[in-house]
Amino acid sequence: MLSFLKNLFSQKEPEVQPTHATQSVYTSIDENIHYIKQGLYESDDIQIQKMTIQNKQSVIIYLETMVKTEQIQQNFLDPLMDESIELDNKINQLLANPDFKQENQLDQVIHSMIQGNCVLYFEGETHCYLLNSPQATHRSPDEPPNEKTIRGSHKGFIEDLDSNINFVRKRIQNPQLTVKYITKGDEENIKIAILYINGIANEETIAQVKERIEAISTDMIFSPGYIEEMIEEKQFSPFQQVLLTERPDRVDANLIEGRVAILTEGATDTLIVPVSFFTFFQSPDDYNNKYLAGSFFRILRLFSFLGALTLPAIYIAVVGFHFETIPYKMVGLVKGSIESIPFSPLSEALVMTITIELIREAGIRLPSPIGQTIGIVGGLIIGESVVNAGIISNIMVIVIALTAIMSFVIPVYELGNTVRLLSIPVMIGAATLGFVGIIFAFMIIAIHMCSIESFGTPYLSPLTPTRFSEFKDGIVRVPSWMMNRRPKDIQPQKKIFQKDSREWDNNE
Amino acid sequence: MNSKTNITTFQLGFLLIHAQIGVGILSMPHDIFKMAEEDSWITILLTGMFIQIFILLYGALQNRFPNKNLFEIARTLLGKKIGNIVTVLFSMAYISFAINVLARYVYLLNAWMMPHTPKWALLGVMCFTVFIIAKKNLQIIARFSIIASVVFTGFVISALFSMKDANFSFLLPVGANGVMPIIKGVQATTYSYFGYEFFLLFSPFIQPANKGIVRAATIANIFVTGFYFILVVVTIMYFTKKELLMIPEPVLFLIKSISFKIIERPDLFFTSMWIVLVATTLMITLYAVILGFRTVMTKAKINYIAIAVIALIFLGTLPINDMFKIKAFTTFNDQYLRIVIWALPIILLLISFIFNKKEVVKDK
Repeated sequence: MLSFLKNLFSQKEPEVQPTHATQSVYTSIDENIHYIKQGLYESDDIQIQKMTIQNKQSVIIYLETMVKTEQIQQNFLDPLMDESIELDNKINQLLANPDFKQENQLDQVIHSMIQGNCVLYFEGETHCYLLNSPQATHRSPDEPPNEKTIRGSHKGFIEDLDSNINFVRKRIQNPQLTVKYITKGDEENIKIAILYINGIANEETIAQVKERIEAISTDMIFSPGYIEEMIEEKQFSPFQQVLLTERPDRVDANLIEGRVAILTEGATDTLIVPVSFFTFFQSPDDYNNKYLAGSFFRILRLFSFLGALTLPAIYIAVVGFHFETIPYKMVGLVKGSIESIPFSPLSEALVMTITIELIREAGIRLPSPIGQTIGIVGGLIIGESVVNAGIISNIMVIVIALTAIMSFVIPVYELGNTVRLLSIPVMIGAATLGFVGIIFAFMIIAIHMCSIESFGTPYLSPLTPTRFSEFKDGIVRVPSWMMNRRPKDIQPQKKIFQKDSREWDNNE
Repeated sequence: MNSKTNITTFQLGFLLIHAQIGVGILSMPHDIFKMAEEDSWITILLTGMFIQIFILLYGALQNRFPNKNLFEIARTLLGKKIGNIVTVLFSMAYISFAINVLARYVYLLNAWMMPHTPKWALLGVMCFTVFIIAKKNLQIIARFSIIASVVFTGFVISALFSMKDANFSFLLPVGANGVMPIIKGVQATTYSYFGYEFFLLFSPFIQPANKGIVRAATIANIFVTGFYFILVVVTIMYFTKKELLMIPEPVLFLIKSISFKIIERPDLFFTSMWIVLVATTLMITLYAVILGFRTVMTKAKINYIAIAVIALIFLGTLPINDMFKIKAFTTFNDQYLRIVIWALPIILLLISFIFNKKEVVKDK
């Protein structure tokens, strides 16, 4: 019934199928020029140069915006012009060059022109030559500003897929590192690369990743976020189910552990699957620090996750419902602070949370000198005067500021956002039922987290399902010579990661 | 069986622990003390052993039908019709158990923490939370109960914390009142232990099949006995006889008396944490009910069954709203559960022995 109505009211758009007629190269220059111009819809950046090379009529056609002309001149035209060698011999020599290819399908020719090839055609022949010299501007592989580390590698991915894969291959010099390309985006033809290490990564996971990416049907893949939303399991979950990173070293470590990385042309972010919740609390810095400091910071981050989620809620519950939990000596302090405030604790908290979000959002969008000013104006002046004016209690300002700091401690920016958003329902729970409300909000969040699986990996592993041996890297960080096995939850084919690396120490 | 819903024996152990420990822990020392007085701790140990006998008997039954749950066993042994009746009897027993748990949860929360909150609100939020997990699979419940186990550490630590004011002589004299009070105490305590029989229902979910199930149940039983033992011993040592006979929730009073520098009334936190234990008990019970109804009505959708069961429990709890009704209902529930949970599996085991019926395990 429903589908019938849908059919009734939806006008069927005639699907325009792009014609993939295979037109082979014409035998005259003008016909070819005409076809290519038509194929590119008379675009104004087509450059056509007719010339005579060793008495043969020829033409080069290219998109001036995509081709580096000096290189064409240097690498191909100059040698061809050299009259000391016969033209056919010269061409045969040049065909040994991977950037010089023979092609006889015109549609393929047009496609490669878009990718930065230059077409060379000699009158009367049934094929043409493609000269590859794309014009590309690369920025330097700077350290990504949102994943800074103090020590270790400072390299970051750039917007070029080939360079990014090059960075990974440079780190993992292993023939088992496999790259699979999938082209997606019907109007855009974006290249997506799936990277994994054959023999370590779980085959089922690889097949699943491929299947899900193949299933994507869209005109455009604007950013890795598109892919992320299309391949993740729980599509409405507030929790991040895919690790986004711009660091080659992080991709390297995850590939070796047996995960799969997805890189996209034109994006600096790499998607890594499968991940568990605790992956988001790991930072490459942990491994550069001593194990004690690394473990401490990791536990600090986990606690700040819990803190950011609950701190404002606990304050609201204590002030609103359970005033008796405040120690005797602090009662006067707290009471004095909130007594003259005209609003309920919940609205106080919401106003302050939104203010902090505003400051953060404004700070990101503005250039950094002004951004700092906004931070000072927002943080210090508003915070100070809002208390002086008696609109919001000073303890609430402390609580909300602490919450914000705690949420920024989480090394993955997206999860920090999740926490700040989730703290609002927890606050509402606290405002309606006190501690009981917090507990129920928490239980619902925990139930949701228990039911998430990322490509077959339980989200809360290794905490639950419990593998105490994996707490070593999942929750704390033990010294690196103790982490001998790969995490079991991603079901790697090769389970042993290393053997005893401190053998020299046992030889007494 | 879908491999995604399988659980490990480790998870089974936690499921059993959470099914057993629930709404009663706050008041249990008081209930036992009324019967067995200073010998309550002996009662706890005895009950643990008594329950262990049942676990072994159930294990024998389960061993004969490794890939079937209790409801399916009943259907094979007694035929489809009687099997269905047994299944419904079991499910009703669990529904009444859930009603009792909820009634006590609402009563205690109202008395202790939230005197002005309407009962239906406390009930509704609990029913909702339990509903969203019980309609999922057992694996998720198992994962959740492992996280929820953090609560036990809180209780044990705070109980041990109050040992500094404990008086060991309150445990003496041992056995002064003779054996009868202890036995009577056992009778009163078994109700707090119900939940161990769930392994009969969950055994088909365990992979690798049929290995270590009884061991997991035994370990869970030891844990539960130990946990109750600590609570009972600490409360007996902390309160005098007169006090303990008077206060209905000795564990909360115990925790209330501890005051830290930063938290004045830790009992409020513990009451909140105790809600998690109530929720896990309810989740597992409800899942068992849904499992039961699924065996009877194979075509009904899980969601509809879950909604119907939750609505039934919600409406059933509303009228039980004071201490006397709860007491009466508990007595009824206790007897009903004893008949169903003790008698039925044993009868099934006997039938299976007498007629020598066994599941034929296919060679792989």
